[in-house]
Amino acid sequence: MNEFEKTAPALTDKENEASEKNEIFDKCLASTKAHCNSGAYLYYTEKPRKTDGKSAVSGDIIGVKDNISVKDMPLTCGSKILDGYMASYDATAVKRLKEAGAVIFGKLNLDEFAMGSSGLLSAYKPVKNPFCEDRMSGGSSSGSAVAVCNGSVTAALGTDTGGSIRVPAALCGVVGFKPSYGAVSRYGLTAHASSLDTVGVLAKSVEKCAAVTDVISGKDELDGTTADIALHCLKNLKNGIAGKKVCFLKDATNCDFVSDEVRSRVLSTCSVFEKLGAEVFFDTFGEFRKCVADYYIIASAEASSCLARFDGIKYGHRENGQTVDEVYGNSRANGLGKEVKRRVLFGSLMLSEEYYEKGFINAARHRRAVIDKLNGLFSKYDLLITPTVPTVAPKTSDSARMLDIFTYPANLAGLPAISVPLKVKGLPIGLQLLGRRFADSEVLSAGEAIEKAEVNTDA
Amino acid sequence: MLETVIGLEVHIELNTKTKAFCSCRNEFAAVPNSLCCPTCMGLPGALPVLNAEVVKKAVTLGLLLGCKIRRTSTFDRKNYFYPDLPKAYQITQFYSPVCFDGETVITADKERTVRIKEIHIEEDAGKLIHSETENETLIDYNRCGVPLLEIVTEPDFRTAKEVTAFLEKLRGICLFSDISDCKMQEGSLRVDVNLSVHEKGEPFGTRTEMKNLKDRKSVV
Amino acid sequence: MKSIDIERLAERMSLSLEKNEAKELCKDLAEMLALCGPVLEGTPAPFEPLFALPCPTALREDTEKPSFSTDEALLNAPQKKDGMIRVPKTVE
Repeated sequence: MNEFEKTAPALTDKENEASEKNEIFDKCLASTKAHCNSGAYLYYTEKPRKTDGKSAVSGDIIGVKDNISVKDMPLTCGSKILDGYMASYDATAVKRLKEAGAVIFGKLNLDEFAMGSSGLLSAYKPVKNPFCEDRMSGGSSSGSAVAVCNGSVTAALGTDTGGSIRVPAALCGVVGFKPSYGAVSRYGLTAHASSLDTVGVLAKSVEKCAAVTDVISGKDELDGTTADIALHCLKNLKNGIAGKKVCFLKDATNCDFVSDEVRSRVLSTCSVFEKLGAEVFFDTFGEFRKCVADYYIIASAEASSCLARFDGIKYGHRENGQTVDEVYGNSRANGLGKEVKRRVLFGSLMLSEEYYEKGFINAARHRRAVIDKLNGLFSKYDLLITPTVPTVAPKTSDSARMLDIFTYPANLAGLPAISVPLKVKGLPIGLQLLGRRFADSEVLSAGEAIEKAEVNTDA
Repeated sequence: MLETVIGLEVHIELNTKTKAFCSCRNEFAAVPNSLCCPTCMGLPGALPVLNAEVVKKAVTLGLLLGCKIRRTSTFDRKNYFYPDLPKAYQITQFYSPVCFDGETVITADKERTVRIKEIHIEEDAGKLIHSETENETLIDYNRCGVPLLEIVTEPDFRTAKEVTAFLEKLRGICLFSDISDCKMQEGSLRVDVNLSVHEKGEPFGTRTEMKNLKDRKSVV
Repeated sequence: MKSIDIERLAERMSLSLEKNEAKELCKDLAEMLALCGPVLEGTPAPFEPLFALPCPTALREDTEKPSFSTDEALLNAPQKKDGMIRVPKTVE
């Protein structure tokens, strides 16, 4: 059931010929239809286009979070204000995947404009946790996590501004990787907070995440913040973690609102790290609580600017008015959801005269303090470990405000971070690993080592 | 004795081949909305990348007007809602303009040193065409993203003649160094005049601003 | 706590809010202020503000690339006329 199927321009006869019968694609399509109530999809195509590229992602079926532009597919950002909008260009990450032979299957649901961590804030429909329908899937890359979990895609592109890849990955029991800021081009990613936004990947295995990251990363002349660094994720994937110094952050694991089951499961991986040859340490970060404030102040302030272009004038949904000001005011009031309005207004408040110095500027000062603290930790250790999320998936009636508490630091500092699912009998639990900036392959190879060790664990 | 105190904010459109932050052609009076791309139209997901030639011309002008050049210069967003501004912000330089603290000598009735407060890079907005007969305005985004330099002087002018002399000198520099064609009638040279009147010896009076003067006569 | 001027913020953000909605959002903003208390009310960290992560200066060649056709540019325009976007008359 594809209730939002806005059909892409019909394939020409030539393209129809080239469109191949693809077994993997058929399986994915069948799975999508079987899970049609999951809320994961906003749009999908039933006609895969043949691609020629040969690479580690050839033939892979990729879902794309619906805040990333795919040419000739709708782009809603989970918002009514972009209802009917058709994207006219490919995001660089999408272009690179197409050139490498991957098939772009469809657009995945998300919390509106990537604001939220519950999976319940899409203007179109909520996303359901595949393990338990009355629990959160996590967000904002909710559709990405669920589509990967229920097998309707090989991998999914997601975005992570404060934890939006890692949180849903943890709550849905899949791998979620947030690359370093500057590793993957943001060209084509609808900006939420330009200094925090990162394009990343979710999949069932760390290896697939590594393969996709290799393809999508690298300098892009269309994004001035990309670094000229080759990550070599697949090449280094099997390096393991023998000899690495791994540090569990005590103020995360011992935190009040971390549930006992998450705490004990996460701490039980100490022995796994040791068996794999790593040296295990415990230390304190000390800034988690303030990072929550930093994130809300900085992301909201940037969002108030980044979302100003959604005005009903040049594209998207327009409400009528006698004057241009009325068009702006009505289009935005009707087209933007509650959480988006909260953030945008809060952002404006943080940039106002009263709060500029103690809000926006202080958060920016503390951001540098956070980076300094993390650099200090990385002068002693190679990887930092926390639970990805303090609890298992909350009920949909609970609050999601503190779900990201352990994920914010990686965005503030631009660090690579992964959530790896731990083997459990009940609801999924994710383990978060953080690395130095641009040490993406190190984070992935550590994730791979844990993932392989977990397969052999008795949960 | 009454004295007129004048400062200028002059915008010049650069004659680069492409726009400031995208590779669309920088051309005057083409077919409406035919020189646009995701970046200059403010489509979701588009990003700006600075044109190297814009920096070169900005620094050239700065040096010719005796300015110091900033080693590290940044861009800022000026946020406001207006139909000719697709991103609802203009990319400009507020905190660290590329050129500052310059001066140039002009000759009108006598010689005068005019201090250049700053020169900064920014992007132009689109064009609005207001209907005479209907309640409608039409928007052409071709001009969005066209590179501008804004030259801000200190309030060192005392007569209209001096202002004219300065604009003529500026135009000469821009033509000679291939920076801009400075044609007021085509909008590649725009002048905002800040003027106040005071008793000589007393503090400066209230400043009045006259924005976007379209031709030489208006300026004078 | 000083009350939040929600009308002014909404005007700045071009949001025409209903009275009830504005009241609710005001409450929400107060909650967010409380959530951000540790930074808003805390001692400023002894560091210069960081607005963007360090990255190399990216400059582009002054070489033309193809633009959209007028049709492509106006593909998603809610109202158009004569190859331009149409809005209510904007008073200068």
